[in-house]
Amino acid sequence: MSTDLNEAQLKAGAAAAEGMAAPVSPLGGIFNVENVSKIGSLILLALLAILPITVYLFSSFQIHTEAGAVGFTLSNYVRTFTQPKILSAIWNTLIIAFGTAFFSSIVGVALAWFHARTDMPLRGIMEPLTLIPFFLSSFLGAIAWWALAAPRTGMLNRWMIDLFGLSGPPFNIYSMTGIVMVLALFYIPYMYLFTIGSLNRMDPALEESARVCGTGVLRTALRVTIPLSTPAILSGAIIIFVVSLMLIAVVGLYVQRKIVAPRSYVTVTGKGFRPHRVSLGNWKYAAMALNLLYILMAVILPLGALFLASLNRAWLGGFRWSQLSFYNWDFILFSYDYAIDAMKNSLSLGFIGGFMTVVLCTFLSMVILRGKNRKLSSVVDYVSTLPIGVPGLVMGMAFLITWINTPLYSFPLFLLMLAYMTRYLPYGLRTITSVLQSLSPELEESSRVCGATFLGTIRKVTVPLLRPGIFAAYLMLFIMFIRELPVSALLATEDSTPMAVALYVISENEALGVVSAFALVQAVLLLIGTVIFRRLGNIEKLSV
Amino acid sequence: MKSRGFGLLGIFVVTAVTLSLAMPVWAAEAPILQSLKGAEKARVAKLIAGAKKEGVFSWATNLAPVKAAKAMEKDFKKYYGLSSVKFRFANRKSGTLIKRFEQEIKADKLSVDVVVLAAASWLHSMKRRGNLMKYTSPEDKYYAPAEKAKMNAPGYWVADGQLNTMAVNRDLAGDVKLTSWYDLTNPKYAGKVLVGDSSRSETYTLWYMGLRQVLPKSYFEKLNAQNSGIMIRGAAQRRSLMAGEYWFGTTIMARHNWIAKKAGVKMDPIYPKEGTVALPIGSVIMAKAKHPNMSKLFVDYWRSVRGHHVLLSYNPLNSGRPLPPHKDPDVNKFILADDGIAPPLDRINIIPVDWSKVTPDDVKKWRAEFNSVFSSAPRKN
Repeated sequence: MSTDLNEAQLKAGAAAAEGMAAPVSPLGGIFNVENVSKIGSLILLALLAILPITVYLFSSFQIHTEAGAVGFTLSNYVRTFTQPKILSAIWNTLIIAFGTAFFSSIVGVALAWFHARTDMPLRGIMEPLTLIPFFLSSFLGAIAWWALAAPRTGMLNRWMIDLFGLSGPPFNIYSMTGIVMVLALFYIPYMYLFTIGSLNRMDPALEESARVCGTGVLRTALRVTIPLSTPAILSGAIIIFVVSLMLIAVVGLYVQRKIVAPRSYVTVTGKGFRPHRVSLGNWKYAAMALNLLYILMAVILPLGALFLASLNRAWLGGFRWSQLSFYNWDFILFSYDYAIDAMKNSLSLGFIGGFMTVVLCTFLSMVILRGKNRKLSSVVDYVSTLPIGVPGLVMGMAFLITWINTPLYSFPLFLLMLAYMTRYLPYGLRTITSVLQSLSPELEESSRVCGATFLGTIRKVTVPLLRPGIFAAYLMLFIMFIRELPVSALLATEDSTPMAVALYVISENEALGVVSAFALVQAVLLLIGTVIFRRLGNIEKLSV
Repeated sequence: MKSRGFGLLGIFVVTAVTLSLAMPVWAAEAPILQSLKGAEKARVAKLIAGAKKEGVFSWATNLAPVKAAKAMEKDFKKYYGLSSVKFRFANRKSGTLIKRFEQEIKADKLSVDVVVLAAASWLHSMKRRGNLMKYTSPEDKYYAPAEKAKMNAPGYWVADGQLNTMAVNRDLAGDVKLTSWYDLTNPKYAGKVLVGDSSRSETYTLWYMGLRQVLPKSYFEKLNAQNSGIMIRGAAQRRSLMAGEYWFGTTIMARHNWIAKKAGVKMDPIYPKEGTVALPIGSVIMAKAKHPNMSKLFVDYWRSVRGHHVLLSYNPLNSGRPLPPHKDPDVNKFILADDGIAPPLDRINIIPVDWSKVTPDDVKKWRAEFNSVFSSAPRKN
């Protein structure tokens, strides 16, 4: 990866040296391509993120009766925040969100560091396995872990009670610990993807200097490597916290802006470097064991539970040979036309919608990090992150009430795509900005000084350097689009029903075995999609 | 003589040609028209002609799964001779459908013609606001059992029933005899009873409200004291009962018992002697339906024996009208029998609730009581 970077930097230099001069027009100062691109991105951002949320926020101050919406009042909020049940729910949610963000950050960053900076064995095999939970929705994770850790009937509980003669079940999926554990297992790949890009791009000379000065491996990691990746780590942790919290991300954004923004974390400059990995000695096997434990907990056990459930006609709390049947697979693969249409819709949304979002994210990340007007950059940063704290159902509702009066409503698949773009914009943006943040602006400045146009610089300097980040963002968005449920449930019509909605409909109307088979089909399709992405993007590794 | 022969031949030829031209018209007559006479035949023929011009029909429900809806569509098209009409169908949660349609009504962009939902308060609200089309189907007169249970809104809908009732996993509980809600308060069933979470679902709140007409608050306090589980999603309740996490459900829909049955788990519904709550499932036409002819025909079909029988082949439904035996003996044995998964309402003791008088304040009141009773119960989603 680092070799790629060096080549990219050389190309950037060459592109700059070519001197792609652009003719200067009298109005060029205002209506040039750069300004138009950035303003266009901002207008799109306003239409996608600000307008629906504002319309929805406005309606929250109204009292809705049979006669329609009336008045302008705070009574809805007063009623909400004076109900003990809601206050208790908010407290529980805060604990879950904090626990999820904390544990997924610790494990996710550790795994990313093992893969990017150390000589841990079997990295190549374990990376795709580590990222598999990313392909599964937490809805499926919950079903799988219910089959594993339900107090009385969970396979894992029964197995451990039998094996160790325990008096009670060791796991309880319904407890706070159980919820945090399952959520953390499924958010760890997010943290991994958020941080591994900046770890990959780090100049090893920084670590080598620390080591030469006699600093140990762990201390170097904690004092040099991790601090240099702070923007990516904080961004990932905040996003996981806010998504788990499912509240408007004002606090999260404030923290992110106050802690992350003022500091400089440039680790990729015009100077070249050679790749080097930290030797962990015998600890590399401990690192591998930790990674394998994660793969066991997040991949093998849940997928194994789903696979076993898919082979039983009825799930009676454990696999039974007497119940062995291929009915579930036959039904999903050969008898369910509804699912095939849903797959086509999801793939369209994933490929086309993902591409449109990545283009928008690239422009917005440049406005945020390379814009000369810092206030504008801050505003754009806040606004573009806002959708992450809006629950999917609210986002779907906001889109519905905002766009229902426009011709867009006649194109449900397109409307769905715009809603997806808005909801997942922050994810793409964080991924691209975390890489762009580690790139020195001097490379682009050199290009512009040599006469290259704005778009020319983007095409020949920025995009090649950002390519791993753009690819990771596209892949992440593709997967998220395929798994999306709450927005789709509200906005999708019969003709635009995506896979996740089809899966939900199946879970309502069919036994666990059918749900498990469909979930596995979805996971396999996402893996195939990932392979195609890697081929198309000519990327060796799954992550940036 | 010769000319007379030519004349007869001419008459024969003309008659044959006329008949042959008329044949396709006769042959194309929809099967339903062949069984009708007089004014009703003329009415239906006119609706069919109108439906052909409309060419499209859109309906939505949370009750019929996709394969049941497709089977009904296929049979309807054949029976009414409307093979060219394009059907649009949406199967979503009732809350999702309601949110969407409310916004569409506000924006005057309604996309649905017919809605089949078990959402009593919303249906009555829609009726009060003039958002439902007045329509009396010839089938409505057969819905006397639903009328007796105060589930109908004459002129707008007649109701089938959504029963959220007691269910038992026989594979675990054996042949234990359950005839009363009080049987669940037996201490030996502590921790084995599952209750729908009324604090988060209007359906379960209405269930609680209905049961409180015949059971005291202390009954539910006993259930809570026995460490009963609380769960919101019907599918999650079904999975828990099937796997044996719990043995008894109290808010289990017929559909979930049917899914368990198909998967080979003996999960029986129980209709306790104190009564069972039946939420009205209204099949209603929207006032601004773009395809009114198709809508009326489909509502006729949905409320008919034929429509019910097709649906019952795929999905159980407690019919608001008495039903004759089904051609499939399994449907008669497992679904329509008195102790089956979904007998018609005339064979069940339904707790009468005047659904037209249930207000949002009632829902709040009963939800608050449920919360106070089950505040210490473990919530399991």
